[in-house]
Amino acid sequence: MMPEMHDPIRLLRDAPVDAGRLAKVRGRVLSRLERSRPWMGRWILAGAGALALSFAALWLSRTEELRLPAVAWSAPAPPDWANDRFLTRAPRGDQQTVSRRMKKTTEQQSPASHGGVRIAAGPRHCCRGSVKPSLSGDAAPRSALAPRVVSTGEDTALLEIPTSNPDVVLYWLVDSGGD
Amino acid sequence: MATAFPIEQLGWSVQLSEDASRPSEQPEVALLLAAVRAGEVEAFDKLMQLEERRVYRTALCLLGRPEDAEDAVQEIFLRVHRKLGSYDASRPWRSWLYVVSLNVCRDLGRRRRLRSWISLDAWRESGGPEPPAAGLLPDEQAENERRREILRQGMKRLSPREREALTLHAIEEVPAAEAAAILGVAEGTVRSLASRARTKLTEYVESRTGGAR
Repeated sequence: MMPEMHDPIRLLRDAPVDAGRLAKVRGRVLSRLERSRPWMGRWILAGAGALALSFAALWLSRTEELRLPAVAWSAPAPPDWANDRFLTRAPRGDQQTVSRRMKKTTEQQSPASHGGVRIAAGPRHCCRGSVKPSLSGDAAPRSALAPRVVSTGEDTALLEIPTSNPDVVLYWLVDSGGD
Repeated sequence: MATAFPIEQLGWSVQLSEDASRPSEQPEVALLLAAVRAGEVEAFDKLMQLEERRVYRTALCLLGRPEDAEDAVQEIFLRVHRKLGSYDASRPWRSWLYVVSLNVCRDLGRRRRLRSWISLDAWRESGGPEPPAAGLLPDEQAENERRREILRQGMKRLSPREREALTLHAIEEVPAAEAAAILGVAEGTVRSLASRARTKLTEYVESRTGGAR
């Protein structure tokens, strides 16, 4: 006679469990968890680093954008005496050709839908350098930004034009031949 | 074949069983779970110590072999640790643990069946002889172990649903309503499955022991 068999369920329920085996299993689980932890930490660090880099890049690009208008602003027109001195010598036909070419280019770059945009460009036929459209008319006082001739050659003159930004100075090379 | 079901699809309107809401156990589990969520490995160690016997017993009943049960326990606890974020603390912890255990055992059982081990079903289908029971030993403990081995072999003859219902409702003494929520069936179905499984098991034991039940 086997008394436990009267209730097979009870026999299964009361089955002894080897504590040593379970401890081994527990050890395996814990070691797996410990092994997976450093990786998780590294991923978190890598993610935080990538986030910081992207924020830094975004901040730098924003500051670059903000600096640009200050340069674009202060491109004053060249002084009248410079026009008189160097442009009167140029052949009439050349002047017109260059003038027309420059006008056409300006129209292509900034079509009639300018709105309030004003082009603060100097003499169209004889300047070198980039002039960007200004978005409003509050330019710096002319007296403070008065251009001056830095050096003169046989047919050219180099003008130094200060801007409202003390770190930015525009140099214009004025050419008697219209280039 | 029983398929794994997502925990989230379970109806959790089940009342807490007397055992699951036992004041001596639930606060401790709640504290341990909070610590584990905070990243304390030691707390998870304690949680495993608290639950490992029940989990092992369930896995052994469902899978039949101690080696498989150990693998299952390891996988169950790893999965518990991984999915602890999805556990709602307002719901019975024990039911959630059983759901994870059942899913792991089903996965493991499927994988084992796909391997080359010869199951009792294969023996039965092939008409081969009954596999030998554990070796007879003189002392009573060994005799009990031999009987348990017969019972485990009998468990393998049950359908997966019957085995799960019997394990949860009869062996683990989970109330029928809670077992029904875990298995995703009606309460009456759990009762009838468990009853049928018990009858089949008793018949099998009688056949193996010559009617000495």
